[in-house]
Amino acid sequence: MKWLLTISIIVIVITTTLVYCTSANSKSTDTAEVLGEKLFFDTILSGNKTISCASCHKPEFAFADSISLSPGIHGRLGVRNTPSAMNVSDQPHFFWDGRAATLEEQALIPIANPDEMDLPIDSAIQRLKNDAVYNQLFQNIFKEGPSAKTLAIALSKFQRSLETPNAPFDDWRINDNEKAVTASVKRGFAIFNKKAKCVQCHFGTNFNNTEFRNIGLFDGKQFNDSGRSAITKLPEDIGKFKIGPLRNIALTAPYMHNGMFKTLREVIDYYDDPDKVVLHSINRDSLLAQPLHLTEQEKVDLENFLRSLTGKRSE
Amino acid sequence: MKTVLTLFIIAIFFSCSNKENNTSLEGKWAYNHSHDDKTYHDFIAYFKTDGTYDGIEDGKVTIAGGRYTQNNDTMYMNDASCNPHPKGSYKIIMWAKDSMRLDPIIDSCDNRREGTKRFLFKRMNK
Repeated sequence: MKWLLTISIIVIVITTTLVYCTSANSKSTDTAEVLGEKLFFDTILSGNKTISCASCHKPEFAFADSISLSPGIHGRLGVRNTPSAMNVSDQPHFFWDGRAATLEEQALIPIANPDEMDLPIDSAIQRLKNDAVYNQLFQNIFKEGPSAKTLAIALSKFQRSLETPNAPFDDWRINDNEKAVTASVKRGFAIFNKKAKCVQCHFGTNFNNTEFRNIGLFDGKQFNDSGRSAITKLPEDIGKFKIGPLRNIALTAPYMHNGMFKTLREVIDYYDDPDKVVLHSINRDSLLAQPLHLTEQEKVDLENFLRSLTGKRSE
Repeated sequence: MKTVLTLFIIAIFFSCSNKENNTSLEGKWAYNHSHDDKTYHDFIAYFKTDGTYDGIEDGKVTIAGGRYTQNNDTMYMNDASCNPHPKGSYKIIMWAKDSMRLDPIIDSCDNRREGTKRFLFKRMNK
């Protein structure tokens, strides 16, 4: 009788442990963030099921793309460079022209855009409802089936997890770790703040402020994307675009709203003397009125500083 | 007698308060909030010995290489993100050696003024 009791206790302990472990595992995977990640990489959200969010927002390039214009469904090209989907938690505007004010609003727009994923949101929701796995995941997490609201929440939760603090630059400044960056990076940081005046626009947690600026890439002819003004309808916004975040900038080439610069060096050369690239720009910001006259060493230092902003995704 | 005692207490209070105001700002100061029994550092101001300061949010430097000077209970500060605004000046209100508030005296940089005055900072342990 005693051995029967012992065996019963052992069975109960093992069963309880297994149940606990299973439930703990399912708890850790049944979150909106994990669901958002699954959706982000799933082609189910495109019209012909060939592309996903990650087709253009590639993890190896800090969730941006490595080409000027990313092909959407049927190879259709958009008109603007794919921005990084990382470090977006505290952004007040989304897209180059700032047409979305929240991450949730942003998350659904590429799905419905005919040049990107080309799937009306109603159709996307119906697909997810018809998929037993997704339907169950949404039920588990949100206590309701897929909807535009829950889809947007899941995708945005995943994007909010893509933060990269603790870049070498942060390590230097926060922890006084002088070895975290080179002397060139430190010189580059000083140039960034003074001679090159980059900090006038690129400041804040992700070095992009909250403004829209015209850096001279609009001339009404060859460069004809009017940017922010298409949203606000204000003439003074012609040629203005969202200031690009600089965290992980070394991974997100090519650069600018149209992806016209292949390297960071080309970007620095442009800012050094914009007229050498776009001669008759319209409404260019007064900060860029005069050439910077950066030396070769200063350009190298500035680029090295920008590279020091490359961080790893936080756990 | 009661008046003398009251004046004496007031004199002691001000003398203590002046001593606190002389406390150096050097080091890290955190504006915190608590949630679920955890303390989160929403913003950290790091005043360095070389007269520069950084602001830190969520492990990211958000203000880098600002410059500050301290004269008793007044602090003057400027950082590149507030250019071309001149230095802002703030009264340092020390609640204790490990907690303080910065009240704007004059600062034309809206972001810095609005971002500073709402914080009650706690000194962080090294």
